[in-house]
Amino acid sequence: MKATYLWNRFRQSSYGLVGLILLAVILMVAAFAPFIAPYKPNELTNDLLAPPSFKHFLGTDHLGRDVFSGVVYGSRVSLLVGVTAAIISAILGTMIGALAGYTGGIVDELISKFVDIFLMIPTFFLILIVVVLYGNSLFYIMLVIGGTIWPANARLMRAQALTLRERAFVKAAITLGESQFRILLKHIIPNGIYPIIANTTLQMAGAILTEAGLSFLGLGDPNTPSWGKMIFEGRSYIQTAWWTSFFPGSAIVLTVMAFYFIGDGLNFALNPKLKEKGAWE
Amino acid sequence: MTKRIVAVILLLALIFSVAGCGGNKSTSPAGEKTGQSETSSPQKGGTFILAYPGDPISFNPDAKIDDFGYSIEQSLYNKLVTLDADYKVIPDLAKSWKVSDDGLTYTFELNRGVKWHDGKPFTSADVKWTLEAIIANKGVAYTNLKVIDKVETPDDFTVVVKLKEPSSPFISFLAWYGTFIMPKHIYEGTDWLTNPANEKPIGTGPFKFVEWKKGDHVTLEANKDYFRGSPYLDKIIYRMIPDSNTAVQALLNGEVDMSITRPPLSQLESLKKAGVKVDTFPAPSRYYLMFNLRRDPLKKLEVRQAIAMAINRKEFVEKALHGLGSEGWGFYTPAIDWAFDKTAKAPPFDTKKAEELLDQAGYKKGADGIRLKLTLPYFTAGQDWTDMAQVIKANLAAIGIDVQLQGLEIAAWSQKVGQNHDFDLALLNGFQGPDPDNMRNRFGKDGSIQFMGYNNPEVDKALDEGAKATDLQKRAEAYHKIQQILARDLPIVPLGEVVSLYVYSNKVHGLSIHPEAKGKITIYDFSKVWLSK
Amino acid sequence: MGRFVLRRLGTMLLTIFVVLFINFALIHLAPGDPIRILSGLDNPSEEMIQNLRERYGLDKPWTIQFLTYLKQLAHGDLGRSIINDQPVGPQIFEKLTATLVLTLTATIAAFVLGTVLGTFSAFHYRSKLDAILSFFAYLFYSMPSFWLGLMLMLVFASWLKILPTSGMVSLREQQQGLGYVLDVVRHLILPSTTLALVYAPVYYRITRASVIQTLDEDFVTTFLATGLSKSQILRKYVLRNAILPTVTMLGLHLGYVVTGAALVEIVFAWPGMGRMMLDAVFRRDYPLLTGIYLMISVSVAIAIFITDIIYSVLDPRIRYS
Repeated sequence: MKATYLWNRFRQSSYGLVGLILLAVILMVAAFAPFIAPYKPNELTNDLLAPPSFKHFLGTDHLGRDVFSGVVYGSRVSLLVGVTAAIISAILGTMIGALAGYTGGIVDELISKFVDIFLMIPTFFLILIVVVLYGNSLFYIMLVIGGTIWPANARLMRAQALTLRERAFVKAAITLGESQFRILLKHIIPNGIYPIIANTTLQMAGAILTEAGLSFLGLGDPNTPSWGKMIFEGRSYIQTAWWTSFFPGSAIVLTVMAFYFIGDGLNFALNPKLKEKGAWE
Repeated sequence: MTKRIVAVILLLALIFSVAGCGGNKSTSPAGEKTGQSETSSPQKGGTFILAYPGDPISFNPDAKIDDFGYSIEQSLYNKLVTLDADYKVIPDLAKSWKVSDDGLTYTFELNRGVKWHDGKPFTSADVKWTLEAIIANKGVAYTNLKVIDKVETPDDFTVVVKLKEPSSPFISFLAWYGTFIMPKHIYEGTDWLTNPANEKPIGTGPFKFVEWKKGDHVTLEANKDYFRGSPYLDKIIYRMIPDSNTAVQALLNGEVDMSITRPPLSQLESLKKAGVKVDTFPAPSRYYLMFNLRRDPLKKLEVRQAIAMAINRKEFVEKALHGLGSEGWGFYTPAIDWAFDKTAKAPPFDTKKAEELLDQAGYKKGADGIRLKLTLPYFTAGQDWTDMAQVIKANLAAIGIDVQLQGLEIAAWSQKVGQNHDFDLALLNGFQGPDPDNMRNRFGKDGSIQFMGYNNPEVDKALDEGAKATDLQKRAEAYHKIQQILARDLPIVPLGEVVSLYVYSNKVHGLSIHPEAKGKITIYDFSKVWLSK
Repeated sequence: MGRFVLRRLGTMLLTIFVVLFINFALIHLAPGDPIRILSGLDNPSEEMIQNLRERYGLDKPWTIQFLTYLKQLAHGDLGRSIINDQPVGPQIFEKLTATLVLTLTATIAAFVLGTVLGTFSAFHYRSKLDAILSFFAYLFYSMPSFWLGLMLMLVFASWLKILPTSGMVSLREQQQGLGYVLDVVRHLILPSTTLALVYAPVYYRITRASVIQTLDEDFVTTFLATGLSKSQILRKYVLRNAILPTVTMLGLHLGYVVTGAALVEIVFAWPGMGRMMLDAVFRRDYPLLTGIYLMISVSVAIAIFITDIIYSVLDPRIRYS
């Protein structure tokens, strides 16, 4: 499966393209935040709960912080958490899944059982418990989200590994005496990774929503602005200052949608059988 | 029709608040109290409905710290003596008391004709049993009462308490927390943590227990045989409404008559405009910033002074406290005025001087403008703390100190700050009364909530002097001395004075700060409340 | 078939055990101490703290506590809450009803909405309507449930004032009988609509894809050739075949039903398990916390178990995997 082929297919999906553009914009905003945001994120001005105006494009919150600046800087946290958590999940899932699928036998059975059990654990509360009990720094949050969503990737990778190990080039490598480790690394994983990539974009979206949920419960990191935290703090003022919760929420919706679009575009690109161009598969 | 009017008023309030942003709400001085001055005569009957923040743990009033239980217990039970709305000790079950000259013997004369809600008579045996049970079971008030040597009951209406050593704060502690008198005939010989009366309490108070539907409501009804006269109300219903926005709605819709759930301070203006009464009265509690004196940058007095000078108290009160409360400059609470020394003050707000001090202390600005990094764990129990932490962070950022905030819930916070002392700065508040001996907990060498690592023998000496002295003047001198020392040593920085709120509909009369009830009852005692139609 | 069921049952029990173990370990290895909270900050004394600790058996190592817990569990005893000394089981069941009312209503509404619209879209494949519906599905799927709830509350309760802001029943009067039911229904509308809107896109997506797939199958072309009308085909054959993945989804969903609603419960002050769980975690009420988590895990495990069984009945290939 070649990159150019994939890209050509992907390009045919209008949703995928839109998603990509949207994500690019968001990435730019996050990267150039200090230049785009008119105020520093923790800066307390004297305009409390001011509605949108020229001075404050999206209004201010109850401590006088500019909502627009908060939304801009908040993109960093959401993207960071979303991407990192999903990558952790991808790495964990890929390795475990590949090992299980390729090795087979009792190793596979044990690992599969472990994965099955893990899939049945209610994750949100688990994450909640860990974050409340162990600390709410961004680092923990990313770690724990990534550490709970990897089973889906493991399953995907395992299925890939199962088919791949029957392929001629893999069998050849075994005959040539290549070590199991190298086979996994050079042949199995690189060839089986594609569904994981598509799934990873979906997991990024999910991770962003989970982080927002945690922040909404008051568990986010208090030193950086995050969209979920802004919604949480704006909640008490919703009737008189709806902008404090509305705009951060909209930002979440846009970002998550971007990831979903891209994910579906990727799915389309990877599945030659699909006629659907990027709408639901 | 009323709803339309309210909607229009709210709209106007919105327009006003928008137009007036930047123009500050005036900060109410701590000493101001507002109350109703109507003197129309009380009407009997009616059900008083309140919005209440949460379920009690149980109705055992003395076993565990239970903030949600406390307010309801004030209507169900009585203490020997209690505190009125000004935090002065007033008689309750004891109608008078005498202290011997050596300060070791307290003789209480009890009211007669008091009955428990199940009809049995109240006697001195109940008092003896309760005090001894608190000590034996290590109840909440244990630390305050362990100075008791013996309790004797020469007759049914006299209680003699003998102390191991003289203790002037003793009477205040008896009036304060975890000292409700419990029925001996119900609890004797049982485990007071699992006794069924914890769910269906029997007390001597103005209201009797009817039912408790957890998560929903608690219902009480009038005790017609109450020894101070039957209450005017028929029933009280405490509806569980932990969400402050919902409580505001309920007040505006007339669904509740009063809210103990503290409304978001941002809504107070709209409540007032809708005709809801908002009374503020000073509470002897204050917000302050603690320094961890065990750690390097904070060991230096100049650093602490610099930080103190960087705090913008005006911003603190306006933004974090929403204008409710006043700036805190002294080292004790002004609400307990006989012990308060207004000359002992924190350093003035002066960011320039603060930066100079830091330069002198050797903490110059780095390339990123940062001199120091400090951690500040705070508890996430309520938006106020988060707001306070944010204001401090912003204030200190202005002089080049980068504050890393850590929001923790109370358990983790106590562990981190209280046990492991793993912090640079921390925020705290709390009741500083009813007696200035309370300073022992916060500033004494072994104070139970003294987390700063502060150890000044002069302070401990003065605390002991204050506790042993019986003359009020002498006591005041000792406590003044302590405040002066604290102002010099700066183990903490005072931030703001806490203000208590009563938020209620204009149909409610007879609350503890209202003239007809003032000085007679304690804060959430509703025995004198009546509702106008 | 019997072997399959037994195997699945075994997995389910094992899962519950593992879940309990992980839960227990996590909680007890965490910093922070419930007794400290109970003792409050105003005036705790070491003796009181030690006393409380011994009472609740918290002075023993957590492995011993775990075994004790298992033993109790075998007798059906979920222990007593540390905070209020009441048995855990009844407390959970009290709140459970409220949560179930909310989540079942929402799930069924989502299922119906999503499936109907999904089928409709599939039949009008590639039309404008299909495109619009698909876009909205994306939109709602991307919304954080709590944010959507807040916005709906703002519009319908605060601005238009046609629905109550929060809670499950109105505050002033306690209704009886039919009045009570209507009152609950009124309060139910906003929170369950929020959840339904966020869940529906999943059903929409699966149904649509599945129906499209089925419509493409050869047997349908054959039926069309024999002259059967489209709606007949729909009713008799397509739906039956296409419904399988959707039903699977529903089964899984019902398992997660309690978890998913927590955030919405908090926004609308709905007196269910979400708030209870949060409080239990914050207050380190270990028995209550473990009890709630256990209950959730059990419901998930059972739901998956039943779903697997149903699926294997409908699709024999699965049994032999």
